[in-house]
Amino acid sequence: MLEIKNLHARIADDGTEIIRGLDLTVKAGEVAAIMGPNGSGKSTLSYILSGRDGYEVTEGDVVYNGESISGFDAAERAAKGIFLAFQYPVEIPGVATLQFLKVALDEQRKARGEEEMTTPAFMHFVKETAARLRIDMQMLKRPLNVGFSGGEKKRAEILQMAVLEPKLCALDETDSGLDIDALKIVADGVNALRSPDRAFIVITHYQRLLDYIVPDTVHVLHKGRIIRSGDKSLAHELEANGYAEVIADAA
Amino acid sequence: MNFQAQRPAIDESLSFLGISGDELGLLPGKRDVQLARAKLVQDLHSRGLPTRRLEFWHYTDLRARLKVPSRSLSTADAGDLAPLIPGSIVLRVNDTSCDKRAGIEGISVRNYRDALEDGSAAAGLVARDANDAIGRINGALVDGGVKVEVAAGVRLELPIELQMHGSRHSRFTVAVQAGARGTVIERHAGRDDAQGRFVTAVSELHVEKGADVTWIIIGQQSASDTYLGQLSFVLEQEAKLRLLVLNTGGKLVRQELHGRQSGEAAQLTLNGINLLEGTGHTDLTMMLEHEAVGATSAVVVRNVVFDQASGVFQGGIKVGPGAQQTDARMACNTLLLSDDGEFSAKPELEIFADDVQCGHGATVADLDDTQVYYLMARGIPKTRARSLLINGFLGEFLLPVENDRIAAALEQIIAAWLEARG
Repeated sequence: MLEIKNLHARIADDGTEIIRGLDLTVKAGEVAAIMGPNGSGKSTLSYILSGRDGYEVTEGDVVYNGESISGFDAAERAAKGIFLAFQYPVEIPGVATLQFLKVALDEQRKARGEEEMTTPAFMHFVKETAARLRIDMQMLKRPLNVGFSGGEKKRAEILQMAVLEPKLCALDETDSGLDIDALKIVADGVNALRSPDRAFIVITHYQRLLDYIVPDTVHVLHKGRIIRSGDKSLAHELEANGYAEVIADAA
Repeated sequence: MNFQAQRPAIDESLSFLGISGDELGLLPGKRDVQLARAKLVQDLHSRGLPTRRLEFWHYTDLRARLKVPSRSLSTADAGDLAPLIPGSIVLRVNDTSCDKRAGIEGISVRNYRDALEDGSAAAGLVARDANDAIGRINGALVDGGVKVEVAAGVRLELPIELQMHGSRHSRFTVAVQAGARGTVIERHAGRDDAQGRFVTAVSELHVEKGADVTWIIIGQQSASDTYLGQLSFVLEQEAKLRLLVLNTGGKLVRQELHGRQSGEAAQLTLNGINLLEGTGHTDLTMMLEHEAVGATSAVVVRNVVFDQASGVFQGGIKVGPGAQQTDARMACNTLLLSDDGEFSAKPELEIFADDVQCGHGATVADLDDTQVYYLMARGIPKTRARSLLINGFLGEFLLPVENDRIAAALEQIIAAWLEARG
């Protein structure tokens, strides 16, 4: 589903190279965990996948479902099924969460040449999904992310993911700022979406999240490259020994 | 002695308005009215249009910008405008039959043209002060309008919509008696063509004790139109006025608001929305006087500026020595979406009481790139994302409009304007 080949990328403004020869393959149905110390390029990778302005790919390519996505902007990528759950969901004053969700879904469907979902069907769908994530419908009448607690913001991200039904979901440190109960709710939400035709890239510092969202593969990112890959036992090894050993081995 | 000879000569033409003395002589009104017009015309001549040296006109260069079409006298546009809210009591300035509307219980309506014809309008055809160019121009040219009275205690379920359609010079007087409650929509709509219209409107609103009024001015001028408007209002004790001004452009738009909170504990909220594009200039000028104890005013102006458009908000608040416990707040927030656009905010506070709270603030910003990216990452194309954010910036602000249907209609106007920009 996703193939990243020898990717080099930098911040357009100052030319700082963040991704330095990254290779990664994620198959449909796979949950791939990306772990790494601070500053290893985890968030940058998620921005580049989602098409944020301000990053330049200088070498290599990102191929999604057999197609290079470098020419598509963030909205086009989203319509193709790429979703990023933000580490810091952005507050949008004046735009009600429900309204935003409807517009996003309509626009994605329009871009894919699909029919619009009717408002009653949409409301029904959102209500069910929200209930599963223990999100109060009242919250969805409030402006998007404005005044939401840390946990509410993360649950709202998962709600968006569930409603938009993407094919490739990147979760950028979705566990940060969550207490254990909220973490379980979020993980349950993600697990409910696991399916043979959907892939996840779970970016995290800590192994804790991976107890709840059990990965098929674990990759260690350091200085913009994957320096080691393994199965879920690698996450436990990192938790026990820290990153230093893996980094030393790779050097 | 015939009628012509009886009338004082308006011998000098208002050349900068493209109007000759002969044309002025044909405007409605008997001797007193003609005398009053002549005085205003002479004032305009001797003073000329205001220059930027006058503080009141510093940010709007009327001399440079007031270029009206060759015929600036009133002309009616064909066709009627559907009211903003279906079922509204629609009063059109050129509708001589509006007296018949008096049948609506609790409202009396009079055609202003009658007041011109019988001379009773003459006393009102005076300038507010030395700087009052709008009052003079309108007073010289006015040929229609409506006078409305809402009787004490009456609650109007549906809005009164005052419509000006086409090139018009009109006057509205609305008196809302004690304890009455209602909504007035003052609606100015131009039509897209190259001709350009010249519209002036002078309105007066008196809100008596305990009355509660929502007044909404909607200016939808086309890119070649010039609009000069002035609303004066007086709020008596415990009177409430929610004032909303929505301007969606025009070549030159100036809306003046002159308010007096004469009664104790009167409450004013003013929400202004100015949508600017092209090379247009929009000016919202408010002069508010707090005169009595415990009155409040909350003013928020939001502006969206595209292209080479320019605009200004002048917010003057004067707190008199008797106006203790005044609470006056004023904010002006601008989304500047073009490097070539500009918007000025000028707060002006004069406070003569010592136990008051007065605050003001202004911000200017572009859209936040991170917000645009976030919306795009959910599949919303860039232009739609931007218009959602602009709507959010403005929509937040329509919340004080209690009537959902009116709020929805205003949102619709804003959305259509943004959509037309693409």
